Amino acid sequence: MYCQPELLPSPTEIAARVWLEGISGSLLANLQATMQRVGLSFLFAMLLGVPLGLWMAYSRRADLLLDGINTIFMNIPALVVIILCFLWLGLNEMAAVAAVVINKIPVIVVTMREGGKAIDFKLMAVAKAFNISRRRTLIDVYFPQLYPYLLAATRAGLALVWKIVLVAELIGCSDGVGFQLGIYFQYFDIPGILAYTFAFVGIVLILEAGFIRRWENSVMRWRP
Amino acid sequence: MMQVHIANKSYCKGGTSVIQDLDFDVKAGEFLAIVGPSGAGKSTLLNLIAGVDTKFDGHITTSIGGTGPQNLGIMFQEPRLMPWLTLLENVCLVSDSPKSTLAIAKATALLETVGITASSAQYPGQLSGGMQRRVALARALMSEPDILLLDEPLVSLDQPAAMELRQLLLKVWREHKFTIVYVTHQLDEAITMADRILFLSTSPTKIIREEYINLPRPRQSQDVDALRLNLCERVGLLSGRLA
Repeated sequence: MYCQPELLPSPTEIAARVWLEGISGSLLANLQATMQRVGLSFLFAMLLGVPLGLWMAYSRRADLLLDGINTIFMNIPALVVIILCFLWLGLNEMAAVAAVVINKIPVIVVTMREGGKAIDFKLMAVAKAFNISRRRTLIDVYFPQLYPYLLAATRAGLALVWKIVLVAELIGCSDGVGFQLGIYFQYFDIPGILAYTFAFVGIVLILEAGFIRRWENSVMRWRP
Repeated sequence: MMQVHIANKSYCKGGTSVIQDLDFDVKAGEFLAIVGPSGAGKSTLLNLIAGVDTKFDGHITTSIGGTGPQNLGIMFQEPRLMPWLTLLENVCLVSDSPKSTLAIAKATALLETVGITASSAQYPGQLSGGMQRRVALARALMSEPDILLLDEPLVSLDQPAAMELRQLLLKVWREHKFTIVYVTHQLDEAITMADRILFLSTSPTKIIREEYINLPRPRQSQDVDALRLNLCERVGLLSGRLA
């Protein structure tokens, strides 16, 4: 009874549906809208979260001041932030992206704060003793120590951003994968839902293998 | 040629001083050893000379008559190589233009000098502690230092490796004629290598004795032992307290 085709359609049926949605153009249009939101919110969240986390790692006052706020924001349900953003900023792109960014920043901050604290000052002393220029110190001594944390923030970050963007789209956007899934939900269209899911997962895997994994291999080459 | 004058060094404002009224000069080309017990602030002193730590009262000048500050090279207690850079990149790192063919050629030659036979494209993690220290020495020599600071560079090495590195240090010192400030807690090491030894007290660090070593080079181990015993008879020199 768990394998009724209405509840769990066959792979060929899903593949056919992906193809149909693909040639009609709606799959690509929705994926593109979603990817754009994911990209923007990921970018803004990293741009704000990384410096904030590092600042908290080095300044006791910043840490004391922001730690509590950060914990609160990390624990406010994503749905609350999304709803409030749409109510306050209106049903537009900015509200959707802002909601995702606000959800995402605390996680990046926590990771990067740990990264900042893990910096080995003995190695920084080498740079200082040898009068290595600021730029070279950053590129060759400082950032390589942060890469594992940046990678972790990127991985965990992308995963979180996907999920939240879809919820935001379901609630307040008129295109995107989340919006389309909402419609299929109302029509009880399981093949449609799975077709979009797999298309989406495919893109995530390509990004992971083609970009993140490659980046990791190049910066972690020295690890035996 | 180098004058060190440290009136006071403490780690927190108004806290207990780690180093107090420490004055000494180092002549050009001299091999100076600084001997003191653990916790005598030897590494702190070296960090001050290297400019890693600038928070202290006093001054350290490393120039002769307006020729400007001199080049410093340093070897820390640990090799402190960047694990994500290859051996060659580690040595090149301290050069002004690390990617230039000139720097690469120079670094390659230096790695050869210190006896790194392994591929210079390896990462430090693949090397033994002794080999990593050789790379650290090559890095210290890369900036063509006028003054080479060495912070217990032989500590935690096995006897043969320490002996080899000691010979290597003396060899490059004879060839390059720079000044060496060598910090150690092992008296025999200091006697084997140095022209002059300063004995430090425990904190606050002060100089409690100065000793010129006039043994001819290369120094024989029986001469070194005899002198060491002679010095050890002056009770307290090694414990950092005056008898």
